[in-house]
Amino acid sequence: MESCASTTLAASGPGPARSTYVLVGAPNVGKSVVFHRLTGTYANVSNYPGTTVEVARAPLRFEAGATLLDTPGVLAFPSRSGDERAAMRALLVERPRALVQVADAKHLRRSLAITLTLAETGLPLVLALNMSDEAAARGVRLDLPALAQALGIDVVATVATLGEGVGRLVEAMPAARIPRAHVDYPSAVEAAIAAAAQRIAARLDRLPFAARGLAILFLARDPEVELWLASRDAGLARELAAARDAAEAGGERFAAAIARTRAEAAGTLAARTELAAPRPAESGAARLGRLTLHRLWGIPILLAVLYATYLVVGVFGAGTLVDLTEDRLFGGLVNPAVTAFVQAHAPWSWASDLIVGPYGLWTMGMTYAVALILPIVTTFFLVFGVLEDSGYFARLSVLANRGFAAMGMNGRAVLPMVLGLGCVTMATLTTRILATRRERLIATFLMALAIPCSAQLGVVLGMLAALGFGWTVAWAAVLVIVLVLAGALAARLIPGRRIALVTELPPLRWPVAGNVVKKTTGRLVWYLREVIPLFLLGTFLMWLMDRIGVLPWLIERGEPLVTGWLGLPKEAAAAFVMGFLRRDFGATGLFALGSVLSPAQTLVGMVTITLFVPCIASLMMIVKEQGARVAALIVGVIVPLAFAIGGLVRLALVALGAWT
Amino acid sequence: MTRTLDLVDPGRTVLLVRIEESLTADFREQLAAYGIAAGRALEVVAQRPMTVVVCDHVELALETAIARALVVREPAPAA
Repeated sequence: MESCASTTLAASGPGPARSTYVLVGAPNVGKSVVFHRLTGTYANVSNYPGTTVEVARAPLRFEAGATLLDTPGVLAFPSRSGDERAAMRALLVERPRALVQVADAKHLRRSLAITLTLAETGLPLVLALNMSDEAAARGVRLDLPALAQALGIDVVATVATLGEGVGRLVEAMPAARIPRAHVDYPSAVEAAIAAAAQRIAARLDRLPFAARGLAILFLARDPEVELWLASRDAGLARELAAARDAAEAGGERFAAAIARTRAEAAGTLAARTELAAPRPAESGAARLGRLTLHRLWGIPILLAVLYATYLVVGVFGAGTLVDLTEDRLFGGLVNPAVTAFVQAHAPWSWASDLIVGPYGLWTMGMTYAVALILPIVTTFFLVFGVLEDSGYFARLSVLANRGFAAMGMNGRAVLPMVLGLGCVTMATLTTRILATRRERLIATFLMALAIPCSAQLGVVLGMLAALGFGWTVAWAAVLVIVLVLAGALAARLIPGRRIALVTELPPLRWPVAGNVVKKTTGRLVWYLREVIPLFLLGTFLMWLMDRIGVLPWLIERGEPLVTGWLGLPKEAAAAFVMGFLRRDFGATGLFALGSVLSPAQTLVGMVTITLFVPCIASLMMIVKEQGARVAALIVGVIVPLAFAIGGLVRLALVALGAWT
Repeated sequence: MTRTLDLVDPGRTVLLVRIEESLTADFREQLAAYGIAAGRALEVVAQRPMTVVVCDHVELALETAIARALVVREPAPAA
């Protein structure tokens, strides 16, 4: 998703691809780590189910001209979730040279159910049983030669995070074999499979994989296979669907019979492969994992995690580091030198103003991006990476599930929402891990409305902290109330039903330093690529509007709303105009008015600007993910809502006698 | 005697008897993919904030609505 070449399958289309290997596997089994080991490029690696939200592609290290595709997590085929459908599309359009299934060695039954499905495609396959160290720690011992013999393919034990077994996997991939494992379904199902496969083979040429595999997936109602068949021969798809519906009438659905038979076959195979071993004592990590969800200890541990995050990001990042970069480095050394140089050499005064003026590309754009925001997002992404790699986020999703239920989502939404505190743009992309379009829409709307990104958070907290802890708490309380009420309202208004949470809890582990550093670096590179051009563009627009008189005009027009309804000085109108470009620009604009504003005015200003429209980059991402109409609707709701709530906060402060 | 999974005390291991028809096909398939099928042993680790079970060395958290659709029984005592 970040530094690697990344693409969506819709855009990739059918490729030449005889030299494409495709990584397939369940969520959270380490596919992205294997991808990194095999390609040297980084595809968002984490210890959280559903990290790969786009399909990543990169050249293989060990085979010239060959590429590797990393697909999203697949719990089972037929595909149901967006991730599974993306993975199935990969199988249908890529015509891979071979599949590499990355599986969790701890959960052999589940892994083999996927293996048996992949075997039905008739494509060459290698099975990498990953996390074999964690399996061994749980007393799982496997007879790999027997498993390889039964499947007819190479089976390699790996610990991808440490690079163990990767060499053997590299050797096995070019020699991947077509599996000989075969599931015998009940006779009625077999008859339907044979009939459908025969029709497919007779009517279509250049099949992406074996007709039997396509027939099984079609009978199990895989939506991607249905679409693919309809796109190739609509008449055939209709005939097959009619035959399927007629055969299912009054009886068990093929999907259920296929899933059950396959699970039984996987269970039998797993039982033959698992060797008896004594169950080891519970590890310290497992005990800590239990405590994170304990009814007494879960919340204190969560508060401790949040406090540690605050210390690293808020105190160290936004305080110590920003003081170093903004005040001492840029304020004391870099900016005076750049300003003197530009003023001495710029041929025209407007050029000097453009670079080092009040809305200068260097003095405003680059200084914000590098001196103010970079230290904050760096520390945030570092902490986020540690939590992600440790496996804590999955537990957080369980702890937060009830709260998110009130907002029409389930606890899985915690990942994009927390990531939004770093970068709302990136988090909007990550909403793809949510199961339904409804959940993605609610999460996107709430992030655009009430989740401040780290850049804005740094400025807001810096300003409120100077007034005292109570004002910070009041600001946070207003945001939480708005978030919950808006979420509850959105859940009622947006049609559809909430999906209950079923999630795997990966073992807690010490974060691997290399993983955390790679993740942080990848995210920072992505962030800087997105942000610096937008900062410069935003600064340029501000400068241009100021030069041609639009900025003073806009400020004048917005004055009644800002001074009358919000009770702020007229100069604050400029901050809201800046907020259209980036919310943190707006917050910084209010920051500049700091000495003019009373504490109550600061609270109103900060609440309004936090709830204000998302930055340009986020808006572009919302357009990409949800469409222009939805993006326009979100902005159309948020802007009046932000001002309405800001004004209501002022009225509340007036009623409480706190408005000065 | 059978009961639903949400009523099993933490620390107990039970056998899954059946999954109620009230659960949608998607959830039934999802549970099957996790290895939760009739006859499988489920060790209940916690009931709050969600039902947490261990199945085949993997911990799964299930919302109460899902746990309520899983009918289980105590395993037969060892001879």
